Amino acid sequence: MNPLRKSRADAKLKTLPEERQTEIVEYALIHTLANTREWLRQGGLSVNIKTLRDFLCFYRIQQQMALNECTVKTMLGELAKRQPTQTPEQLEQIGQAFFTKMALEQQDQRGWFLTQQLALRKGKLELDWQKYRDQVAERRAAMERALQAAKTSGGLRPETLEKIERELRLL
Amino acid sequence: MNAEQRELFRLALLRVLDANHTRYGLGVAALCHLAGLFGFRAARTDDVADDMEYLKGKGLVEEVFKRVSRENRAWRITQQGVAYLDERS
Repeated sequence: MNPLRKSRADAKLKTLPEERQTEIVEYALIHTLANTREWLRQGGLSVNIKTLRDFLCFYRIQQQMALNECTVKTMLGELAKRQPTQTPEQLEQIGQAFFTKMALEQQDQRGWFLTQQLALRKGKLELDWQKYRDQVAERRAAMERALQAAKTSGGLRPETLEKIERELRLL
Repeated sequence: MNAEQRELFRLALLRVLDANHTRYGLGVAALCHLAGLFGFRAARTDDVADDMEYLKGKGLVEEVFKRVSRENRAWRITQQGVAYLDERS
């Protein structure tokens, strides 16, 4: 970032620490603007919806541009190695042209993020379901062992045995 | 666009440029595309080019890599532009 390029101190969201800005953007990705605004208000920061919306766009573009710059830098490094005759000025022009082209291909980050979140949630649900099935299987095995032991030793009344067998069938 | 919409559109262009903290500038086509994030989805490149000239005249934006051909001009916001924008946030 250009150090000479500073936002005014009263630009509430843009002057927050980077981590806090990221936190706000992540919250806003899965909540409405109104909810995010309310969440910020509860945290002691009052902003209007328009300021919040503009900030979110600002942040997303900023991140995308930084990423694009990294990509262009890598690409120019490769190009300079393969074509050492390119002058710094030519590389600068190529870099600028690529940077502009990449900005045109800006993706819908919100859509991507939500897809990833859904996939994560689905994965977590599947994991929880598997854990539950494992627990049930363990419980059933333990009960069957206990039942077998009781049948062998003859320590349980027939009604109790029948009850345990009924419960086992329900698992 | 009426005068008010034009003003809002120029602010949107400044906001896009404000978010670009890289060493590269943004061309008219990219600005036109990214202004859509601020609600101006039907913007035309001709309008953007005119508005960039206007903003340049006001000292709010400047050209980068001036040696680049005229069709591939790229822009960035000036410190004056950042301050102008923040006053209106």
